[in-house]
Amino acid sequence: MSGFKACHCCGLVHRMPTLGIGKVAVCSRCDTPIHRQRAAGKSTLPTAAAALGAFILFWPAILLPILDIERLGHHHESSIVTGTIQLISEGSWFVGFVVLLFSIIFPLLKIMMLLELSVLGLFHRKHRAVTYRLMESAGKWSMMDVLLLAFLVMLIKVGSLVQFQVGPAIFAFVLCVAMSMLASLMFDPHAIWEDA
Amino acid sequence: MPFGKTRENCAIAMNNEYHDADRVEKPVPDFPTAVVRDDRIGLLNKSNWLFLALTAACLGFALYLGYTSTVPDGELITVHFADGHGLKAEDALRFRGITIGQVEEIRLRDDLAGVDVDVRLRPDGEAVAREGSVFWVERPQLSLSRMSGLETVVGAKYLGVIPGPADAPQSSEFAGQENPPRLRQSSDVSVLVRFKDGSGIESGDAVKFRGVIVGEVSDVRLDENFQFVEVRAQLVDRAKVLAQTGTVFWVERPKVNFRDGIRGLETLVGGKYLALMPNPSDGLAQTEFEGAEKPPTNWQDWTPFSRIGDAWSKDEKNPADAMSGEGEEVNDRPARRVLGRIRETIEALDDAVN
Ligand SMILES: [Zn+2]
Repeated sequence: MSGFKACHCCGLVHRMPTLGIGKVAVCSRCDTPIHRQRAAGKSTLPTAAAALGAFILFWPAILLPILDIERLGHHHESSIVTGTIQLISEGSWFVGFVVLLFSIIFPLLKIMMLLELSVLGLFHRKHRAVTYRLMESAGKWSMMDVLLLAFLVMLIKVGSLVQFQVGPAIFAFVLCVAMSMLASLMFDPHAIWEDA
Repeated sequence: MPFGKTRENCAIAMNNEYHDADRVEKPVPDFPTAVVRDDRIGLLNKSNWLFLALTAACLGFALYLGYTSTVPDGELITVHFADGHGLKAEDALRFRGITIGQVEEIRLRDDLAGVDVDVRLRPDGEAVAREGSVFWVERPQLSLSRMSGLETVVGAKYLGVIPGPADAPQSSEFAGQENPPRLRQSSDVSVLVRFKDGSGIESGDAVKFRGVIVGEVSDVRLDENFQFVEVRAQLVDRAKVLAQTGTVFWVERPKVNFRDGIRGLETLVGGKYLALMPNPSDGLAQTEFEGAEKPPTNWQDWTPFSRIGDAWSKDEKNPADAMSGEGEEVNDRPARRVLGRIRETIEALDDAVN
């Protein structure tokens, strides 16, 4: 017996049986996995690996050119960062800050918090709960995937008017979104208190 | 009881109340036991190496992207110009209509005597980096009849290049030409016509001969004493032979016949043009004229004289013509196409005249 755990999805509290290796305990009501016993290593390892991957890919995604726009012979390469800076310097404060906040700061915060929760463990246990909740709410507002969709829609819609070429950053961007989604999917909040 | 608690509260609730069962003083309600199953997501169960490999792959990919997009893959050349003509970083270097390089940086020279343009060549365009290559800033030069906004509409300037001889040695420093080679030995002739009354003629209006555009008004201004209106016009290519002693210039307004309705945008927007009638006999080359107030009465009936062009024939051998064959393919821009058409028209005209 390892105490009680609430279902992450529906909240029903369960008595936890002892789990053998490679077994998973699921909610008796909604079938959501509550706890899994990994064959080897800490249960946070998959999350940590994916979050670290996302963290690494985040930088090329925002720094390298993501779009090469050719309009009437003018070439313009822009990355997410230079695009945001350009927006702000041209006086589009609101749009600029919205992009800065939701496409750069929140996604980075989310990835950093996932990292903190899964590997770093810099904060005290009590604060990690706060980190977790922050991560959940910051994650809701990190709009990388939305930005990606916006890009795709733009590519399709405006394609005939202006010539677009995607830059190398788009690949990093797609992978980064995938990695951070994978990390948060695999993250088991119970792991926060598991080994303290 | 925590039934129906939200996701967020769930974790904190566990932390405070249920993690350590011993701490709960009230009798524990009868909680269901979690169902134990085989972990179907085998992936999560596999060795740690799988995940570390995933991270490593991400790192490798990031490094690869960073490397390929920051390390330039072509040669860097520098072209010196006296005038940048509004060239910007990221503008293209084009040859035969395709981009073979990109302007990386434009620097003002330390002595302020000109600009240095750094161009990053694409690998397939590196052959142009040899001695004898001619570089120039391609820009719309003639805006014929109301297309004066062409530059802003069509946009970018670019660098043009004509490669040097194939066996020339490599070079990375070039002195740029101010004008495209085809216009370098410009066959255009600038004429100055003085009018008592400008009649609303404007810079950018056409110069027409027998209804065909043969040039463009480049400048309209009052002279120093406010006595005349000075109209400067460029006559394109072979139409320059029309600028000789005795040629009459006047401002022509198209007649609008309201009974038939107004036809054509041309009439509405760019009505006026500078018309000319050459001297019916041989004349000498001349570039300054007194404008006529009224069209000559019989100008439509003007007939070709025998030796038109003699006045200008001394520079008949035109080096620009030799170049233009090369240039024709390079230039695919509307302004050039218009110019090309005008040139054809003029040539046809010239043939007819001879
Ligand atoms: Zn449940």
